[in-house]
Amino acid sequence: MLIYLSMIEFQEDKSKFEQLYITYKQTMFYVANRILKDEYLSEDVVHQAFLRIIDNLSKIDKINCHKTKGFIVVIVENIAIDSYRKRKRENSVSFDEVEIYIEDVKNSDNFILNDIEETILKLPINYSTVLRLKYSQGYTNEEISEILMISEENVRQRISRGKKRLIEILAEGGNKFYG
Amino acid sequence: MDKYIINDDFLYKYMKGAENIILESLPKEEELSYKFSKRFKRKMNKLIRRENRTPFMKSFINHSKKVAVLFLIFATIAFATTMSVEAYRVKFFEVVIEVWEEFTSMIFKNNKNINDRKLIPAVPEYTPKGFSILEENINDYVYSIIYVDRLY
Repeated sequence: MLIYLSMIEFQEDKSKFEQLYITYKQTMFYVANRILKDEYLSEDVVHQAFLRIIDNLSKIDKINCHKTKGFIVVIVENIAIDSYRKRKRENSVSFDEVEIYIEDVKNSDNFILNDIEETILKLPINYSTVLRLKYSQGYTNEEISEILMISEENVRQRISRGKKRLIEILAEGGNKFYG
Repeated sequence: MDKYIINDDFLYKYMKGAENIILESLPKEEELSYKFSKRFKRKMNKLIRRENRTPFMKSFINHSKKVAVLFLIFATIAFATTMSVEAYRVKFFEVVIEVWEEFTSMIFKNNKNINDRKLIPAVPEYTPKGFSILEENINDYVYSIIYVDRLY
């Protein structure tokens, strides 16, 4: 019975990781290359992202769903930005200073965005990733710290700075706001 | 001019929509056709093989690694002890056993029986059971006996 149960676990895990690879590898490369503009580095980022996914495999339920796709995209973006920072001048630029935006979303005419969504999309990715994990995907600060491999304090700090940045962007657009 | 309160409720309300737009803006997987390098495929295949191991195999390999590390530490300590204690070191170097495919050679080095550059050999007291002496040689430095077994 134990052998049978371990075989089931094995089959499920096997299909989960392999299916994630088959389902998302092209998208993951696209997301990494959009930030790094370097195919060699982007492949490395995708590989590192899969290593990170293995550590967080239990957090993924369904393969083909928005939440899983969002989760994977956040991981790739996070590792890609880290790689970008390293390439830019080894440790001379702090993570929070790296401001990379999702340009092709903002420049796209295919989406009718309301003011708020447009403001959120103007956030640098390093703030956006943490906010998306917390407020869209519903992870706790502890889980986010595991996913992004940063301290919980750092998670709290990025959420707080992300909110401040949102307020600044809204202010630039002539909106009134309260923190 | 609109008024906004940026708090958790606000973010829970709007972040999902913003994330959906980000994800919808990405091309569909089947529309992308990047050809990954052989290096990447090799690394990924290795990773997939590793992930395909049964939980039992994974834990077995993890434990094996730990055992190997412990054994290495033990062997290092044992070797360091042997080399640092003179009595052990002498024994270690004086008795050299060479095991070949067809015969076994045992060489004993001894400095005690040296007398005016003339070797006084330490002769074995008996012939091993099942063996007979084939050849016996002696010179100033080396005394050798070749034994053969009955099957030879």
